[in-house]
Amino acid sequence: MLQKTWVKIFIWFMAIFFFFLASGVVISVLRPGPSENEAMSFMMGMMSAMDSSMMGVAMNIEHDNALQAVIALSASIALPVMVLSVAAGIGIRLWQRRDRNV
Amino acid sequence: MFDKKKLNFWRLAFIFTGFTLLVLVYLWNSPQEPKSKMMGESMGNMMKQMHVTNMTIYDLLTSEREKQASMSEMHSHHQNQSPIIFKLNFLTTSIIFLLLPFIIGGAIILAIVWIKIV
Amino acid sequence: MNVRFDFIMHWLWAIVWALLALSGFGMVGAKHGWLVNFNYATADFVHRLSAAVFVVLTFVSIAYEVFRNIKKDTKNLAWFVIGRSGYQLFTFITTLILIITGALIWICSEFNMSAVGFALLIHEYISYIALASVIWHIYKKCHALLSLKKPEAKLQKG
Repeated sequence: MLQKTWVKIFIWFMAIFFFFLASGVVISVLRPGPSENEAMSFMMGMMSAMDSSMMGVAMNIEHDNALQAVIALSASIALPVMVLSVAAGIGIRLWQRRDRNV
Repeated sequence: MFDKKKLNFWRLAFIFTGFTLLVLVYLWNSPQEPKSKMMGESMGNMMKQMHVTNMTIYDLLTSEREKQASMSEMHSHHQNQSPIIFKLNFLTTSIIFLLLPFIIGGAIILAIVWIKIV
Repeated sequence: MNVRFDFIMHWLWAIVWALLALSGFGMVGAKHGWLVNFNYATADFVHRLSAAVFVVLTFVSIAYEVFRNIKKDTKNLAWFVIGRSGYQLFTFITTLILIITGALIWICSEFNMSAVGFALLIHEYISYIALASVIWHIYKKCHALLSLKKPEAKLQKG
């Protein structure tokens, strides 16, 4: 699989991409502070994200009854699922051990 | 240290370190625009300075209700999104929040199964 | 062609993580904005959509690992994203932290702002650590970076 040319190119692409990201983050942190212009475009960009992307919609969850119901449902199943998974974890552990000791 | 097997890694590392240094030197040498007083920090740091610095655990658990009024004002403001955004928001939010308990549950199972009791 | 499940998961994970990282680091602050050209509407869109895919991938891999444990399958999955030791364990822990803090930020209007600020801070710093660890991972697994010129190059086990 790794010998295929397109896989090799893909792996190289991903490696270069992550290096690009890392150097981009280093440049962002160490560069001279944001100019007036950049701070303005940051705020404008955030405003446009609230206006025309999901950020604004997600801020209104309190007014979306269907989503409220989904979150309430997930909150209500969270505790039983956790208790069940503790039980299941112990169960699987014992199940694995039973074989090993025989 | 400069293993032959790691040659490709060091090649990438040197190219990108050089690139980063060049860009940084260029940025610090270029004429500086007037520096902004605001927004110099990352969002997390700004939030920390605004809210987290004098916070207790109790504050984490109680939620403010007085924001409600301003939020409903915002609600009317955010009605101009296209319906596809609303649908996608519903889809992604429900995927995330329905799978979240199961992810936590699975993590608990795996933690119990993986832990070595000495 | 024999395509393995863990191989596919590994690279799907890498693609989604890369998208999340690019759009996320661009949103960190005004100094980082050039990464996404201050187009936060698109960055936010990409971040949220790939977050959903990321959660689904995490769920699938956790479920797969749990079923492997039930079936007592102890075969080593070299390419799998989560596991009980080393970088797989590190990925597992950082993923859980990122998903949980991300979910807190997602429903930020439900909580007070100090909780969201705290979650944002953790989300940001964990992602820095995770990005650094990806570079470390590339260093450790450098043998996968095969030369494009020599197709006869041997892949090492490990």
